[in-house]
Amino acid sequence: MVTQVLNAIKPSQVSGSDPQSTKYLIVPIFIFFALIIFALIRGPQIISPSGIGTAIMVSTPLILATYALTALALSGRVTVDLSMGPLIGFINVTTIQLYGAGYIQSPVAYFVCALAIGIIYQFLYALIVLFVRVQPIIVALSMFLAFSGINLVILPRPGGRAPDWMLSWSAGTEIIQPTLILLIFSTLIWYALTHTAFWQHLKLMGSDEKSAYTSGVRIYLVRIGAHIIGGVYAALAAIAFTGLIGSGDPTQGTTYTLMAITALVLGGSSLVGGRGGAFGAILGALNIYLINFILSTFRFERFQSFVTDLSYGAVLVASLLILIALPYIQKALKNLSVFVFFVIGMLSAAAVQIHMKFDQVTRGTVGGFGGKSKDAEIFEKALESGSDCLITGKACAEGGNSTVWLFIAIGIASLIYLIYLLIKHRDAPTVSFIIASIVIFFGCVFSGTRNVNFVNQDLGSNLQYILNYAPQYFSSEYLRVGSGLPDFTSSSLLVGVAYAIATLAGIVFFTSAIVIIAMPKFRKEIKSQTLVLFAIAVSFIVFAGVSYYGVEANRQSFFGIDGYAVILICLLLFLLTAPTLFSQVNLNNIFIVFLGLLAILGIYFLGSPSGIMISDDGSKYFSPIITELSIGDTSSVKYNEPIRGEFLGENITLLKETGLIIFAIFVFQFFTYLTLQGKISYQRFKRYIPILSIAALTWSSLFYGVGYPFWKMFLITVITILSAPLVWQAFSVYKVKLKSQEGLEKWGGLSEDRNV
Amino acid sequence: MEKRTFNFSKGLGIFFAVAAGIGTAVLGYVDRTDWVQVAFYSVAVTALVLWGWHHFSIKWSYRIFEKKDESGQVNKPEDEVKRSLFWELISRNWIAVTGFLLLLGLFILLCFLVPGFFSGRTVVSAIIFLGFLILAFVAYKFLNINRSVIIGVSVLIGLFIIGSVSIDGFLSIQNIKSMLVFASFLGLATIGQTLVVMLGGLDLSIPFLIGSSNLGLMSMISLGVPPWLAFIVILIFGILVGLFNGLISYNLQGQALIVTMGVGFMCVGGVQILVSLPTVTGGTVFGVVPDWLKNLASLNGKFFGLPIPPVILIWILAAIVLIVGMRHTKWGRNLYAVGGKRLSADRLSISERLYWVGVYVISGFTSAATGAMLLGWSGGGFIGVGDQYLFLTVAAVAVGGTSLLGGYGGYGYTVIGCLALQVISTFLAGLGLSFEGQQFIFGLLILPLVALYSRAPHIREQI
Repeated sequence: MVTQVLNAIKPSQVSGSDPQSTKYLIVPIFIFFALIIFALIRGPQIISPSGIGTAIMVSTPLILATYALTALALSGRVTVDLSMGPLIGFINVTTIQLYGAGYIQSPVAYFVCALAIGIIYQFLYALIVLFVRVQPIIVALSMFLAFSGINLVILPRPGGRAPDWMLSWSAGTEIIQPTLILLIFSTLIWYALTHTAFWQHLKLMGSDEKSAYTSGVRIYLVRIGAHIIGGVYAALAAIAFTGLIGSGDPTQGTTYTLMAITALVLGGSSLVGGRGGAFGAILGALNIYLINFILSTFRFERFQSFVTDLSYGAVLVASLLILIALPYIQKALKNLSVFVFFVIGMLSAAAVQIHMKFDQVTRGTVGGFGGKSKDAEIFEKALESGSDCLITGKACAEGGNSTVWLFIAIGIASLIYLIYLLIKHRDAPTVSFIIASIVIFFGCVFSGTRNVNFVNQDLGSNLQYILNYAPQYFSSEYLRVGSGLPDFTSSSLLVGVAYAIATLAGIVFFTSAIVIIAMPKFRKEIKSQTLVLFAIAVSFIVFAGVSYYGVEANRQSFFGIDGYAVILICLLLFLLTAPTLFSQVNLNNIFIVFLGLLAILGIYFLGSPSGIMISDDGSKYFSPIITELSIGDTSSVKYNEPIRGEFLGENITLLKETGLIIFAIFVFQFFTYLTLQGKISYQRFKRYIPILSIAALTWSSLFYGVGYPFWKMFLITVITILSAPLVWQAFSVYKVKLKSQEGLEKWGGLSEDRNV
Repeated sequence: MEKRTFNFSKGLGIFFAVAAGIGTAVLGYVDRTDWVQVAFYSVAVTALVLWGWHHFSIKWSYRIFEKKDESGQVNKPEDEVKRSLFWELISRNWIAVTGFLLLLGLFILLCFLVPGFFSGRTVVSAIIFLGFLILAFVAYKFLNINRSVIIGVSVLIGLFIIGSVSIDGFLSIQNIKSMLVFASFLGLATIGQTLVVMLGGLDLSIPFLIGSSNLGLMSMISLGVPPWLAFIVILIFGILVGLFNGLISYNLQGQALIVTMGVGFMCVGGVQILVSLPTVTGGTVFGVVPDWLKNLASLNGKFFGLPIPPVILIWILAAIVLIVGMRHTKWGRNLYAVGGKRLSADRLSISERLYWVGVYVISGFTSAATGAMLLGWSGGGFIGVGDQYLFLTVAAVAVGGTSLLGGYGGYGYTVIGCLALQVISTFLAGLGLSFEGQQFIFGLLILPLVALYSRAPHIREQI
């Protein structure tokens, strides 16, 4: 039975390939979801038909160029084709000029011409590398110069006109568009190629050319083949690029080369050869798009290009630094399947998306980033009609509900799957899990009315407009650092930032350190690696928290620091427990994933306070803090009183509170159980009581921070600790069952892919 | 050595020497140079060729007879030896001879086909070029010098000759001076690249570092920082960036290319943001460059009254220090050891990391210095001032003959590479090509130049 689950969950392992071969994807996946969460918060319109359509349209040329680079980089000898950008430009301007001169009018001729140029060039490249025996990088360098020169000769300045049949390519308002078809088609070809013997030879040659030669691989043919594939994809990229810009542009070379190489590295491919694939290439290119998108949501104006340079470089270096840590991460996450990791990321992105949909009152999903005015219209209309669509955003968004429903459908489907899975293993944790789910569900249903009055109705003034429509979360424009601190509030930016960093980093590090210490059998390396991992995560979280802090006070959402802290802690526990689980059974992984999701949802729904108004006092916001990178006047803002205490104090219903408490106890029990590695005698546990109490109290200081009474939390902790053995007893039933099942399978020789 | 052979060589040598001398004189006359100079050059060229020929011919004859003795042949009658010597030389070098004849035929064909091609200048330049080809070939064949040096010098001299014949004012003092100034900028920027390549890495952050230090220095000066202090700050900035480069890329062997590129982009973006913060215009900064900096790098710079821009002298000094240092100091020898074989160097307890990071630091330092000096040359800060060095530095190293795999080469080669590239680009510009055309031809030229000697062995021989 467990094997069935395994089969369902871990396709990469079942297919018989090396389980470690796709582990490098964890880093791109992590970056991708970090970026997409960030992007969602900055501009939720990215997940909308037009947003996705634009993303596909803009990133397809880059994805295809990255495919081309991947094929070349796979072949080894550091074949980083720096001339890729100018080559794309060359195909672009040549075909545009030929079309303009009346030659290649039909699409077929156009494609053939582009493909021919790409293939011929890469064929020559391969011949030079093979027979002149110059290093590939030299060829790339010299051809970079040559192409950059000749492009400007062919078409001195951007201009020309793309073929008529290509005009619809640059619309990007729908998801299904010609570019997508091109992309899917090329990806299918790619996957077909990866299943050939040629591809194995290519990978072998890339990782060790000499042994490939000695083992009889015809390396000349293989190298030529790799280059021809590169040429084909370069040509396709050039076609998609032409469709995107709708004209010819001879000057794109350097930037495009840099972008494609960054995408290649971000996708986890090795420049030395032998490692890389289509999934990584797509992720890498999408990461580039997301970075651009996020940067475009900041109003850097005249700094835009500089910041773009800076962030490309920084992302490149950062991803390379992650590559250094990759072997250690792989070691630490030995039992974590890439697929599950992907699922976690997707779920957290979905949670953020749902949050944005429901909480961002004024944002529809219409238009791109420039679509603010349309938002304003909707908002005004809604204000006039007086409907409560403002509150949820669900009814408000006129055309963009589909994505939320999509996410909800995904959530429901996975929940059903989970419940099915758990019912099949009917035992104690399942039952308690379902009870917790039901309680939370009822908590959601009876969460009371969420009547929020929007007071900023005076849209005439520019300031109010900005206040209402600028993206609030993560935005430094709305940084209100230090609110809730009686003494430091109105003073300096520095003190507030220091406070926030200290709080967050302290909590996170403290908790993680305690959990690590609480695991006596942990190897030293894993402990240190976890710390490194979290040092990376913390920087992200701190930034999020700092920017978010204070903004939430005036929103009806609870998804603030605490929400991020919960995500973080779940992530931490997940990572920590993953390698020490008693078997490779990924049921536990899934379990933890969904617990994480549930925690997010629980915090979100249970904690969302009701009846909090948005202040009509404009001075509660800072004037835009970071615009053109200059820091605004921070001293002009006055706070009347701390906002603490409005959240969980009197507004919480009994049912909600009970649900939350049960949930907290359950999570706590489960993870302490895992921490103890199944050896559940009270004697053994006694030693850890002080540590775990401190951990629990530290964690609950978050809740205290938003106004939850301390005595209640203390009571909960005491109950938790006292009731621990009972709950573990229930857990261990589950575990013993699983263990015996595993033993049976071992006896029958059923579990092949399990190396305990 | 036999007398006949010696006479034959001697006669041939005198003939060539006299021909070269006359050629020089004719060239001088055509260029309407001062007669004193013409005479001086002619005599000098004649003497040079004569000496060179004498030097080569001894080795030449000696080797041939040595080989004959080895193969155990009996001495033949004297006139037969003389004839067979000539024919044997031809038959031994038939590829070169055929190529030479083909070139000659091509030239004659061109003369007939293209109207106006046949003129005194082209004929003279063709003769000189062909003669020079022979000389270079002979030198390569019989001299025990490094192959890449020979080719580099040959290309350099050949281009120089063609350039001086076909372009007006190519040999003028002003032009030579400017070529040297540009070459010294390139040469200074390439110091780091050479050292890095010697260890098997690549540093693509050089152009970005040049641009950002150029802009940063200008911005600091215009903000009122004392120029000398700003200069030092910029140098420290370069060192720090180099250190960062080195530390990261040491841990990412094989990916130095991308690391340095990323770091370079970070520098450019960061410096531009910092520079633009206090000003209104983004990108370019204006200000007054101090005189000493101007004098250091501009064409009209004076070195203690001598009309030589000090930057050239700085380059020469740096080149001498580097060449001697790499050849004769412990540091230099260790550098070769690390570049040649890491494992062996490790066994000699040479710290790989130290040398790796060290060369990157030097690279950062020299790039920053070049950027600062370029400010003296141009007089205004501009971020894109280093853009062309992205490929020029790599090309200069590769054209010079330093192996990109590391462990072989030296700064002396790079000097030749820099000069050759500079002469090519001046030549292309002198032909009246647009910038794009220059770039195109330049790109295409680098490939055969590198292919001439920097070929990797066949995979069969690598195993």
